[in-house]
Amino acid sequence: MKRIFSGARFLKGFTIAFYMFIFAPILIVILMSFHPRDIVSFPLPGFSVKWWIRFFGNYNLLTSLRISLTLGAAAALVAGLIGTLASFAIVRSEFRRKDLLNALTFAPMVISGVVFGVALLSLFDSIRFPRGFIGLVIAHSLLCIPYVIVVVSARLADFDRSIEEAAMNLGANNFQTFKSITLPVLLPAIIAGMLLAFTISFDEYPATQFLATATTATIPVRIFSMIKTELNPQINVLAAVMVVITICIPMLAQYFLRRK
Amino acid sequence: MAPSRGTPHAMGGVIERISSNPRFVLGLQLGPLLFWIVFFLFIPLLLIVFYSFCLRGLGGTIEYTFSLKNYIHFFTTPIYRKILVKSIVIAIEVTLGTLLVAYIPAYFIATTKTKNRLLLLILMIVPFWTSLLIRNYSWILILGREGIINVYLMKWGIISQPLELLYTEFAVVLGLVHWVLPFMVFPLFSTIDNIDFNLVDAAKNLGANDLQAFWRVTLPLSMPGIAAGCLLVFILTVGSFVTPSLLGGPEDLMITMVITQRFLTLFDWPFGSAASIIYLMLMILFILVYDRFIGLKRILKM
Repeated sequence: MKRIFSGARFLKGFTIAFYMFIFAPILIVILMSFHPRDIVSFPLPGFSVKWWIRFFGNYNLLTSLRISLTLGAAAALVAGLIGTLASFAIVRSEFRRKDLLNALTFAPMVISGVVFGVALLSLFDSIRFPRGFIGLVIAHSLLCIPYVIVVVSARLADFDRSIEEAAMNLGANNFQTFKSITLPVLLPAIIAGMLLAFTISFDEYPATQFLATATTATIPVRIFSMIKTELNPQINVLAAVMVVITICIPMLAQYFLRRK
Repeated sequence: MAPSRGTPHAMGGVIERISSNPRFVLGLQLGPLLFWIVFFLFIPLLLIVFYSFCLRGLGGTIEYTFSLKNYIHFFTTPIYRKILVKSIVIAIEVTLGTLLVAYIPAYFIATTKTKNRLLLLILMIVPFWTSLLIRNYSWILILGREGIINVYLMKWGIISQPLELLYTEFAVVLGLVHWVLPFMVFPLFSTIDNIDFNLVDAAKNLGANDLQAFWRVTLPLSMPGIAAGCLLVFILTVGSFVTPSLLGGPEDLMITMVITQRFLTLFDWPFGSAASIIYLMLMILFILVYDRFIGLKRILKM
């Protein structure tokens, strides 16, 4: 008699169900962005792009999209620069209190964004620094630095230093060696780290809510208040835009990481 | 003729000398990071510690005194004690739930012999990068009174009244599990992937059945991954804000929501700061206890 319950089949079935579970919310949101009515309902009564058209006519949302994109790019640049420089020291040098520095660097990854946000708000308030774009860039870059360091220092640890020595032996100075040997090898990892940093920034809400103003409301700030106040299909389009951006950019990062 | 100062050659020499001084190079590499950490992380946190001993003045100002009132108020008011306990309970539920959901797929991916291993791993990362806000929003569409689950269950006649799924602790735990899954799957995967399955075969040859072999061999050997995953998941969940705010009901308050409310709506920064410090202390305490009984070093090596 054949056993009905087979261990291997159970494992496979569970795994398929698991993947359905993790993808269901993402697919549903994209599907719902083509909803034709003014109130979200199931099943989809038809298919329409009217919310997409309205989205591209909505000045406030487009402004927020622009702010989020600029902020993400700025935070990624700052985090990319600071994180790359620090990766060199972390991978290649030994110094006192390296463990402490590591712990502090990675703290923003695990400390709640809320606490981080109120702490920065208190700082800006106490030195009378106005809330706004610069403050957001500072906050987001600090949150993104660990991700850049993880990616860049992994590549740096694999780096074959003998090619640098070869360049030096052939008469290149430190700067020339860095520019023509080290940087080109490292560049894919730096770009990948910055793209991941961008994604982190693009979805950040817990800290942003304390630091954003009416004129610097990012897309997550808009989405959060829309979900809290009025559930309409416009969110679906925003959601679909967010999904596309937050999925495509890390994929681009993977592409850069694979290019050796 | 000796090259005079300012000629390109001499300048090159100076730059060369400075750039090969290891202390200078280290300073250049770490300087920006140290500046960022000290000014935008360390000092702000110290400021929060300072504020937590002040009091709220009239109209949301800060009265600079030294007082333990905020802390006393927090621990003597039942609602705040309840919120603190609730944050921990939700974090424990999420940790156990994630472990249950994540172990089998991690085991499957690690042991599968098909070429799809890499594809399965990449597919695991996709939801991880997808906006958390959007995933939570999607759960609202799925769990709501007129959400997908209720609509179809009623259409098929399984239920006559919509189930109250949204704005419950269940919804919060579900949304959080969905968020933290990759943080559990990846440590589990890398541990199970390194298990020597000859040991499992040996156990079976000695008479153990599948379940016994799993219970006595595979599971103990996957403990490092389980420990690492649980640590990450617990820490992330205790400090979560977006999911409990969007999917929870009025009963499902977490400590981050108290902090937000005090800072943004009640303008009581000192009390909000005290709540932040209590949260940070809870995290530190948890990590110390964890280190004492399980050991952080083992995880950091992974």
